[in-house]
Amino acid sequence: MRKNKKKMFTESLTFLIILLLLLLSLNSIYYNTNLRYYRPNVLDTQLYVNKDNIKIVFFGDCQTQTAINTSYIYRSFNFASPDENYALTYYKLLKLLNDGFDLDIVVLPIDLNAFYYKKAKVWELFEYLPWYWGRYLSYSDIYHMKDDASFTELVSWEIESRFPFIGQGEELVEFWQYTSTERNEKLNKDFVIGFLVLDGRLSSQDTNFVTNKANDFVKNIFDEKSIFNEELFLYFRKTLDLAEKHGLKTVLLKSPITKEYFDASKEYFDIDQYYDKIFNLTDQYNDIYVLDYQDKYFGEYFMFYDVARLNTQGAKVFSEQVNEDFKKLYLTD
Amino acid sequence: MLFNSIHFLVFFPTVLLLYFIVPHKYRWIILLGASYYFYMSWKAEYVFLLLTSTLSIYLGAIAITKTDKKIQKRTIILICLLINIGLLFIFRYLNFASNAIGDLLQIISIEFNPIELNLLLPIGISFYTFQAVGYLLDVYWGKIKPEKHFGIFAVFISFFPQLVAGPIERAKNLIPQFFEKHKFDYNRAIEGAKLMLWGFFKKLVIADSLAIIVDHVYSDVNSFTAFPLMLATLFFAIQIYCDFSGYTDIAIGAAKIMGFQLTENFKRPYFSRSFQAFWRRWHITLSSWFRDYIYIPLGGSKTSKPFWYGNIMIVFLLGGLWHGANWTFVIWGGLYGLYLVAFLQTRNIREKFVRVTRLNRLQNFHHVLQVSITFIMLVFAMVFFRAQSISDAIHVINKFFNSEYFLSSKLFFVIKPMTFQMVLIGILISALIIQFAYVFTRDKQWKYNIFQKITVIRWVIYSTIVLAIFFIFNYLLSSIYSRNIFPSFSKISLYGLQFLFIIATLLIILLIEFDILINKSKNLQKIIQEKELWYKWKLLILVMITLLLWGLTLSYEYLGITQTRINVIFISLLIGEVIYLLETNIKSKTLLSYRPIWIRWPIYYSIIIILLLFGIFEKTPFYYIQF
Repeated sequence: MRKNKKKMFTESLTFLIILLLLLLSLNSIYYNTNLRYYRPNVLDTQLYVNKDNIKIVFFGDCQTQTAINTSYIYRSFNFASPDENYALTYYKLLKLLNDGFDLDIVVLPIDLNAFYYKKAKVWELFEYLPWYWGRYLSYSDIYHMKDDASFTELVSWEIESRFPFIGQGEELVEFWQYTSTERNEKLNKDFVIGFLVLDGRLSSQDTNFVTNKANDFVKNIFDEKSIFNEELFLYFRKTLDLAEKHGLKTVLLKSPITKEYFDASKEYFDIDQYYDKIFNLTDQYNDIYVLDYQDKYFGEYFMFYDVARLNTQGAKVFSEQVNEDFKKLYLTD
Repeated sequence: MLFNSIHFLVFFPTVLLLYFIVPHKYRWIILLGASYYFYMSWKAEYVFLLLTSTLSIYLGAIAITKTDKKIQKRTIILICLLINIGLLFIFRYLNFASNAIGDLLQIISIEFNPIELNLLLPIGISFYTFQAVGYLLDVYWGKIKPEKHFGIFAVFISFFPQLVAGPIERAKNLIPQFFEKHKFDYNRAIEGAKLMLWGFFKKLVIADSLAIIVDHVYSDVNSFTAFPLMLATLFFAIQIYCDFSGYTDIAIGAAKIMGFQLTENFKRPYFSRSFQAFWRRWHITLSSWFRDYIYIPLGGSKTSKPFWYGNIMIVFLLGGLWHGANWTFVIWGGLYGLYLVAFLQTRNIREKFVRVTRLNRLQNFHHVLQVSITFIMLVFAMVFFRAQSISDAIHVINKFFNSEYFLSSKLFFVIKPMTFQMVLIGILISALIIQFAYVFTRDKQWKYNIFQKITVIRWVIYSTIVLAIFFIFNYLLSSIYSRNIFPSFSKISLYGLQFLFIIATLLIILLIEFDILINKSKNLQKIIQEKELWYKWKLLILVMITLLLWGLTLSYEYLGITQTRINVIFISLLIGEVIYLLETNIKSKTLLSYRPIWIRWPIYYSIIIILLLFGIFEKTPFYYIQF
């Protein structure tokens, strides 16, 4: 009986240890062959490689991501990611500061959709790429963010963030179809220290076309939904607190948009009131600067990829302008 | 709660731990608590249905034994049936029945507004209702005594492994097991865990992958030609089997770890040689329920022929309805009923035909023929099972029999060149070489030949040849295209030729390997005995069909699935087939258990890894749960 128990214990343990080793190996293979090339991961790597040189960090969503080409702004890094909300921004900044980044300026977006409802689904955004966000969040953060987080959800989160290869077999196999040259070419095209290249151009031939696009876009994001989520506003406040606590200058950035987008948005909410609420808060902080480019490029369709995002050409013009304005404000040399 | 959820991954070990820690006397409390938690984690409000069913049947069964008057017994039965079947009817069939009545009345120009209840179907209601009703009827007929321990009875109705998708257990089998003291048994637990793993593999890898194709094709049957529709229907047959038997395996495995033996629900049904046999091997617990509680009470076969056939049709129509509240299911059940009736009616003619054609002398061929015909007819009827409406099903069948549609299928025009084909060509050459060596060196020494004796060496040789040939062939094929060496060969014929070679090669390799496997293992021989050759052929036929389908699916784009996923499906099916024949149902022992650890464990590891990599973890419910 005792011998049997010993055998059972040894056999089970050996089986599980080998299984764990296999899974860890597979995880490592998946990470090194696939995840390493994921955009957020590459962004992190680039940021950490340039850790000592970076003084300015841009946060935000795809609007910032496509608008700021940091090759025109000295010692800066565009750390924006698609659909990023202020909860994500807060934890990203927190980690950078904890990891010893010696930053001077943090640039935060205050665009029209900075606090809109889709972004308010904080938890859902975290569920996207859990292996990535797992680096930025602790369990206490998750508990705090998601009041109704059940134990199984946390287990699920843990499994997904620790073993991202699960369910990714197709991707892992298809990876071998790309050559390393193809991958590098793709990455070089996409990345200029975080900047996302959008080569398309908004058609200026037909203004109705742009108006319709703007109406569709705005309807999609604002229609019958809250445009101001208080939870995200709270994280905005926390981000400002964090920046102030670490002696950082904060620049609030209104990225360029088309007139059509601006006008269409007015149909859904009072833009002045929206900004009053933001500035009522930011007025309480020192070292806050506001750079407003929202209406600066109205009518300049050649600069836009769509109604809300700049294209590569627009990003160049805009980034040079931001650099100039930073100098004027003595934010940079 | 679904078996394929993280929730279950946390829930089950916790229940196991508690179950084995708590003294036997109180274990039913753990099981009852766990079962109700399991059920309520889906939709807590519906627990009242489970409670109503449990309470009514418990009280009804006791009341039946308290009276000797037949009329009173019948009244009790009627009340209990009204409550239980009534709940099932309201939640599942009311809308359907109301619409059907509406349609009928419309024919005779009577206005009728159908009742539309917007109720969510309680999961497992068809299963536990049937289990409860079966128990009540057993008590009524005096086959069993009523269970007086309410707790144990409640566990019997709600036992979580089989609560939402069966097997539908009989009280005689399950209730006594709740009184038995189960100690933790390592070997039993391993067997149970293996069964669960296999169930998860079948569901998450095979069934859910196939579902992508099936759903894609059946969601818009008008856009597809005959071949994709046939393929999707065939895949649906495999999907539904893997889905349901996968669930059953998990259920039986989970119960087994705790020490319970649930009834086997599937016994390789697609290998049935007749429809009668099919129903003895497919969803056994449901078929036997219908047999014992409907077919036999109606008179079964012990009545005149028309009534006998009528009884069969009633059972199958009800069986169809049990699977879903839609006319498509009714027609599906009806078709199966007609098959059976036709099978019984033509018995003499068929026997005569076999005698005249001397098919009985070719036993194995006859066997294969029977299995094939049965299978094709079963799959054909499944069009109604899967189609969203009768018109869709008719459209599909129309395309099946329309040669114009069939010939315009992409199958005949697109066979995509793929890397893995190159690898398979490599295997072809190596197999031919090996076969050559095998044939010409088959003497007494061969048994001691290092080639046969040491698997590693053999596979190293295979791999080396395969790799070498892979590169050579890659080069040759690219040369053929770039320099136009064989202009008369179209791409299609070249790849078609390639494909035929591939099938032949793999068969040869498998034959050699299987031959070596059988010859090498004494234990294996003991188990297989005279059946060894038949199993070998069975496996080869299965593998051949799978490879054929794999080849035919190469033009995968129109199936709404990636090339990798197609490959995963077929590799899984191949693994499945080997395990299916080697691992299960060959007497009581599993063949794999006789293999040494270094063979067994890599197989288990492979299954786990494929499951984790390619399993579709989107919490897709088991197909049968909706019944």
